[in-house]
Amino acid sequence: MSGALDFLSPGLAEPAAVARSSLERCQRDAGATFEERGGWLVPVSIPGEDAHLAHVGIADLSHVTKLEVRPAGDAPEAPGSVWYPLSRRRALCFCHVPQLAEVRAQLADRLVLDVTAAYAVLALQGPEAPTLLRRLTHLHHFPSGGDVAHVTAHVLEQAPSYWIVVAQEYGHYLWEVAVDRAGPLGGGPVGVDAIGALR
Amino acid sequence: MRLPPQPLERIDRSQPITFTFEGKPVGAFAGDTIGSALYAAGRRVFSRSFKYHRPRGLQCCSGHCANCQMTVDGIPNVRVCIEPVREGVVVGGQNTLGSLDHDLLRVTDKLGGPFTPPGFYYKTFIRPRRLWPLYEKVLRNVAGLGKLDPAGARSQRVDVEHRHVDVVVVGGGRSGLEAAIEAAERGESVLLVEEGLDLGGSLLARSDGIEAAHALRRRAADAGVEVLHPAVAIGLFEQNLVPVACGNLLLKVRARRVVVAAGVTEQPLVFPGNDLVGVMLPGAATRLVNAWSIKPGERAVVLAADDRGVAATEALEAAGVELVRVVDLRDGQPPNLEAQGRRGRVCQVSLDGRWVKCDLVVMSGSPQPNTKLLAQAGARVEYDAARGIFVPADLPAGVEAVGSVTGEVGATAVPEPVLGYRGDKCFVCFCEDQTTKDLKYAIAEGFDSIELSKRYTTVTMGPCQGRLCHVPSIRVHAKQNGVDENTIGTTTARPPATPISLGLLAGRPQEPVKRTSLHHRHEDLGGRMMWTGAWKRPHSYGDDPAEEAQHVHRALGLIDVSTLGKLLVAGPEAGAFLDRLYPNRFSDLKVGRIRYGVLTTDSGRIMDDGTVARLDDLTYYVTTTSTGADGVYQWFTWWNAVWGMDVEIANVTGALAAVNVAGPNARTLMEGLCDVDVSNEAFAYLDAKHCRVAGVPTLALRIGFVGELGYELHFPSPHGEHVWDTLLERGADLGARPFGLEPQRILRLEKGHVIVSQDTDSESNVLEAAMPWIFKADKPDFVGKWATEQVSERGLRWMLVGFESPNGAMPLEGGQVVVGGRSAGRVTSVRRSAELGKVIGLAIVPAELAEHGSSFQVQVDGRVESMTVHLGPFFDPEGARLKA
Amino acid sequence: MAMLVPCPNCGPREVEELRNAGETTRRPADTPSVRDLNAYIYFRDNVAGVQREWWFCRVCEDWFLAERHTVTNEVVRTWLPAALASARSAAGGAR
Repeated sequence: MSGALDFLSPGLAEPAAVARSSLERCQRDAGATFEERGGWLVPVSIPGEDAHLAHVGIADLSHVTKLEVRPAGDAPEAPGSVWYPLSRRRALCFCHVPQLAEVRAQLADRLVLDVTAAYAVLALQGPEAPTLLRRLTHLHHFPSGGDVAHVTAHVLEQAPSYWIVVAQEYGHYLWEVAVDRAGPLGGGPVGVDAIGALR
Repeated sequence: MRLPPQPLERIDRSQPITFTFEGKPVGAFAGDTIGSALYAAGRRVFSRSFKYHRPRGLQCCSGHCANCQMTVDGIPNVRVCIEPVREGVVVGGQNTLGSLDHDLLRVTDKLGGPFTPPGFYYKTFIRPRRLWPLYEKVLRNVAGLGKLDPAGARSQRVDVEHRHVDVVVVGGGRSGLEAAIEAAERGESVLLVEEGLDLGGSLLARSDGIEAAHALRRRAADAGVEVLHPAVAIGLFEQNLVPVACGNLLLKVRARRVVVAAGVTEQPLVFPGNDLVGVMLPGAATRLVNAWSIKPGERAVVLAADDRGVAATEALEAAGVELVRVVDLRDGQPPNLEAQGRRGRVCQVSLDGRWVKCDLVVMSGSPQPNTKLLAQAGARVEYDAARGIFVPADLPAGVEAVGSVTGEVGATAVPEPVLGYRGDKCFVCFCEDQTTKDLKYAIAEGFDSIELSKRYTTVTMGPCQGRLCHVPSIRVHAKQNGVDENTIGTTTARPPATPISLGLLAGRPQEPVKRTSLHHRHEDLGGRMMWTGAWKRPHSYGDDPAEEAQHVHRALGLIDVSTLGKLLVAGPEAGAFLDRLYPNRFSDLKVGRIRYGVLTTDSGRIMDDGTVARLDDLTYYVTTTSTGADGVYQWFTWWNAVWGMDVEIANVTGALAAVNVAGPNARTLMEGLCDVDVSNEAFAYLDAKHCRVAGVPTLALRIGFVGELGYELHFPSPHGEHVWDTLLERGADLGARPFGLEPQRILRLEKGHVIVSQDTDSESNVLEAAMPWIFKADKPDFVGKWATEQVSERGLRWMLVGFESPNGAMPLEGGQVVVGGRSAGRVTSVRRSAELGKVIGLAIVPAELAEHGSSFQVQVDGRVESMTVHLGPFFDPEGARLKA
Repeated sequence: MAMLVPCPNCGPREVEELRNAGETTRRPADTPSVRDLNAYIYFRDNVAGVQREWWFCRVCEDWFLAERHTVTNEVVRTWLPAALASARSAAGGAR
């Protein structure tokens, strides 16, 4: 162990220690098939996902690597990574695991906190995704943050999905609300392989 | 009975529908409302009035009045005149004892009238007070609206949807449609809200208007106007937030611009018998004929103050109704108007002293602009004496009014406040059964302001929300007080502008709850979850928290403390920053060491506490209380927004799970799972170490809130279950068991550890909370220093002390401390400690009692019990076990 | 309350997404008298008009200052305090 902030990084755990998203129990209850990917139990498929996706599918992307960068500054050059400045002071960066070292190297002049563990990510995809989003939040320009079903969250447009990024302790709650709101629209849970997502 | 097909009818005679009314089948057509179908089937009495149980019939037929409120499929207070009919729907009357036609409570009309002036209930049923519950039960059954089925309170799903558009147009009449089309053709996004079943408004009442309405609808659709109908804008809030009720969907619409084209509401006339069944507004008569092809009556009298009443005569004539008399009030107002009825239904009208037989009276006062939304938005509403209407003025920015709502109502006569020679049963407010006599009575009692009179008589407070009674009541007030209507003024316009169900406002049930990454493990292990702030945490895992606590002393316990607030404070000035925030010092804390800290405000009040560990030269790791995390984070960042020190503050509460491993066997467990030396020499009390536990990167803090050898493990939250499971498995032989919040509270009390906001309050300072050692008076400045110094200078008045209950009596938390018969403090915490075999607690007592062995009194179950002051920890006062 | 307040970072925000922390105060530079300390802790101008106040944005987690009319709720302007206006090089540099 080296850095003083290593204890924030789930990615530094030994392979035997499996990481679970705060939505894992919701996925299990929905009958998900899990695969271990990059140390995480990832819900790759869920019964009924095709029918849900025809309207709106909701997937758990919490395992995506997330960095908080201070000050925000310029985005790192890493294809496929997502750069979301919150202010001049702070930005969030979502990236693929293989990119992590390179991204960190580019951000070497800034304070970088591994906040992968801090946030749950719910991905909404399908023709009714905008409707579902409107039934969860007033937010309508993306990316932006604010009230989503009475908790603070951030919504990013990652075509063809929307990502809702929320404090992981509210993840289970928000998942339940999103699935409830999706029901009348014909939507529901889907696995991560059903949507085009960062792996 | 229907008329032959009418040119404008909206029913589809090829689609019959059957529903049930009061147990009997009723036939209808697609396009009918429940109200129109019932009327076509011969029903005339639609409801019983609120107080007197007078029969009431269709009056407005446009969803404004309360006359047609029925219970539909168990949902009370549905206005059936605008409720589309559905196959099999079950409809019944409400607020009756018996049926709508034979309501046994009609006796209140015969008896009650003279006996129930305003305030009657308040004045009469106050004595004897003990009988009020009985009175209330009876009165609730006699007066009121429909009944809610408590079991089916959430019978329908409601969703809430947020929308953002350039323009919201309220009202789908000609002006509204034109405004919407114009905006949409300019490229603006437009949402049009129409409360009625059809777009077109007053165009639909004219045979030559129907094609114009169709054309406007087509143009609106072509221009991309989004139309919601039937839907109601229920308010107009700051910065153009318009909530719209659209069936079971509540839309919260933000608009750059709001165009109010809400039109007008036809007004009743006030005369004796104006509430009889068969007395209706012109729009109702017109709609019955035109839309539903129903002949409203056989012989009609028309009393009109404007063109609308006159126009209604055309429809009545077309339907073959005999027009007995048509009185245009603009040509002069009848001095002695009165209507009489038989069994509540109008049968004759007296004009100039001559009675004429009729079964239908169409009345029309000057139609009033629907200014409510405009008034809510801040517009002024002023009286135009010439036309007898209230018109909007001084519209706020971003709000516009078009069409008849601006006051374009044509030529009108201003009706007298009361027409008719007798003041009896001239209804001003139909919903609340308030007559001119009631208003005069209230004014005579001193309620001469319209706002006061409204509250006293409840006039305008019924389900029509003042639509039909606001202006008539203002007129009565003006006349009675001898002033003009502008002087009386309007009552404050408040949302909702239209009655809506509470369920619609409530939306879907949702209660944000924070769960730790171990939440489901606690449930798996039988944890009884309880709310602590926004978090759910395990109270305990069985029925015996005392035993659960003792087990920690005996062997090994695990508690999930992930809810602790966790902040990183990093930067060259991090130590100096913390020195300025805390009464004690952190700049001299050695790397890898931990110190307890209490945060005070500048008023000297204790706001939070926790531990501070130094991770490296530049980085501190601060824990806060579970409920204090957000508050402390905002506190730190606020001070740094003021000070601008070179320090970064990050809230990593959710990123990290935390588990406290406590008990005499804790080290043995850690030896097997942790990759660093955990001997007491290498890993001493108040050391912080980076390590791996069960293969997971961890910050281990050697601290002990519960008074036993303990390691608080902080690690990435996604590994919560992995670490927890491993600790329990590998610790099984050592007796590892989970313990909950309640056992933790017992254990910490045995140590005399304070819980901020349980044992402290808004008066508590560090000196009187018995933590003088934390106050470093030699520091130049810190937040709270000056106020704490003042406490020191004025002398200590209170002290937080421990106490024992010598005879085992258990005071309540919050119980008063009594000294010399006077209240002198309170008990803040009490528990029975199985380990000590005692009842122990903490209390705030007068400072002079803060001596070991002194005593004070507390009331326990009505008896005065003596408690003995105990200073210092009750258990292991030297901390030998903690530091073992 | 349905007002929108412009956060300097996030733009117009629903008021629920922000925390109003009251009017700005001036902390005494040196040890104050009892009277001055009490005035600083307990007394506020409470104007019926435009006042300068602190707001916290729960979205970007920055504090900002606002001039708001306490009667009409009109927000005249908002801005970041000098300490946050320039993003300095990060504390502690690289990790």
